[in-house]
Amino acid sequence: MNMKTTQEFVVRPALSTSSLTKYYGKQKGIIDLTLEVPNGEVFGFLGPNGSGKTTCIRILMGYIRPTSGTASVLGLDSVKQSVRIRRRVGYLPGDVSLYGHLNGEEHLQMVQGIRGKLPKHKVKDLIERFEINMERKIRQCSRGMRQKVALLLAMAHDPEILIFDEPTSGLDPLMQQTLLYYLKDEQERGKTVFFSSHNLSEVEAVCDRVAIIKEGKLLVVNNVHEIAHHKQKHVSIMFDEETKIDLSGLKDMEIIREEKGRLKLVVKGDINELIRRLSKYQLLDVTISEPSLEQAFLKFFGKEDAS
Amino acid sequence: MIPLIKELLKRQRNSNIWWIVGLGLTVVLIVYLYPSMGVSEELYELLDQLPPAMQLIVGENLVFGTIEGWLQLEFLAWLPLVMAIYAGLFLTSSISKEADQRTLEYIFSLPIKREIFLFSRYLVGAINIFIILAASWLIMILSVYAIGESISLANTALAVFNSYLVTMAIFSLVFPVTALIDDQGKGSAIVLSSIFISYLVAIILRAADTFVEAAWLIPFDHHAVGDILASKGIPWVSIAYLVFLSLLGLSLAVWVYRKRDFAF
Repeated sequence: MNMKTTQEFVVRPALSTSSLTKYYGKQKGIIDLTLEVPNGEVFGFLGPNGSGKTTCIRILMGYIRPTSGTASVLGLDSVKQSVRIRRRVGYLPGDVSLYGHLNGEEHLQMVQGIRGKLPKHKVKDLIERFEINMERKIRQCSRGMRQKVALLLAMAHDPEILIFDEPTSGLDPLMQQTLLYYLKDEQERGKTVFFSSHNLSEVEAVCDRVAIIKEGKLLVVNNVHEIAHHKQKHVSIMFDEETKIDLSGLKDMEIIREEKGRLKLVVKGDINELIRRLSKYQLLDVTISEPSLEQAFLKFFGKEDAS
Repeated sequence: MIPLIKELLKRQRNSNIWWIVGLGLTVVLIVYLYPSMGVSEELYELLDQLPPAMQLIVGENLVFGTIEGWLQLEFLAWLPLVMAIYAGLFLTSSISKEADQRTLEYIFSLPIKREIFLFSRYLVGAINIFIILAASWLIMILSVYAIGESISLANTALAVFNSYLVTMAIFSLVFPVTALIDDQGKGSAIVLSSIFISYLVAIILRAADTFVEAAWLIPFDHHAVGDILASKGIPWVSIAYLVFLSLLGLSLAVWVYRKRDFAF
């Protein structure tokens, strides 16, 4: 097997960044961000406003140049090969602005003129599923309809990767659901989806993995359920009022409420130790609840109280 | 590039119509006033008494008492300045505004090179300026014939073409500025004030008869409408210089646009 043939078998990540850093003058955008998204994954990018999500996406799409580090999409360099990247990627900017004097159909013709012929079945499917009014001028459309037209324009060429910045913003809950189902369908067709969001439930619903970014720094990249479950579990125990439960000596555990016959605690580490201890007592009920991604998210940003 | 050009032409259609209507009505009115005002000796005596700097505003070699002289005084002398204002407004609305309103973010989500986007704007601007000037020239000629006068088609066409080249040079020189400024209001203020200042500086330097070489560098100084109407020949050096400035401005704009970040 010669070198060329060997290279054909190298599996490139759909999207990757290495020590990516961006400063806007003295202001920091992102710092030392290293990330890898394999092909076929739905990847969520979470973080509060100003955390650097959009900066990262704009570097990937070639809008801005990194101060240091590299970013690539489908093995193509984001700085030098951004046009080739955009040919193969469907990008939806956050709070997208389209031309007010054009309608959806005219926008589609414009995209067709630039990208070449679009697959008719794909366009038809998108228009039907998202119930898009193609005749109305963009300036006369609601925010939700504008977002749906933008989604159509980003996906009409059946791209290999979808990079979406807050894709559900402006959509009604039903359409949000439609979009999430659509993204799942796209994943089943082998597409990679990378999207940033504030809406944690949608990330939890569709993403395989999630990255959390804060003040430009990557805090964690993990399986969605791992992030939600890894840090803590809420345990509620009900027992006879006469029973005295001794939990002394247990590590990574915090009692948050203690009443007669009732105990609420948070376990941050291994729960097995607690279960072994509880097995010595006659209990009325035990519930172990896993925190939502939202609770995990708030915890990352030091806002546990808010949850 | 064609879809970008089509979109911009469609967006600019109404604006172009209004510019043609505005300039057309102005030139019709000026031509209509020629028989009563254009041959007034008092007016030319008054002009003759003006300081040299003021006289330079309307251009050299003004021939009194002719339709050419009247059109030079009232219309052709001002044409590059008026069209430079159009050029500045066009650029800020087709480049800075796109970044300001973030339609540029959508455009750059498509596989379009930055320089292609710029070329599309440049081309549409060049076409629009040409159409407006050509329409004004045509209206001017028809108006002159309508009042029973005659005028040299070649000389007036050359004079308007000279205005076109001056406008294109200014258009090209403010092109890099609009390529760098993402705020339409700020861009318009900078571009329009630069145009007015360069216009005044060219006049002042020429009138003061010092630093004439410096005045020569300013595109407005190459508006030789008087020489052309007086059939003093084609100003080849000026034409070459204006073409050079146009290419310089365009190259500079492409260079800065390729280098810059789009953080919106």
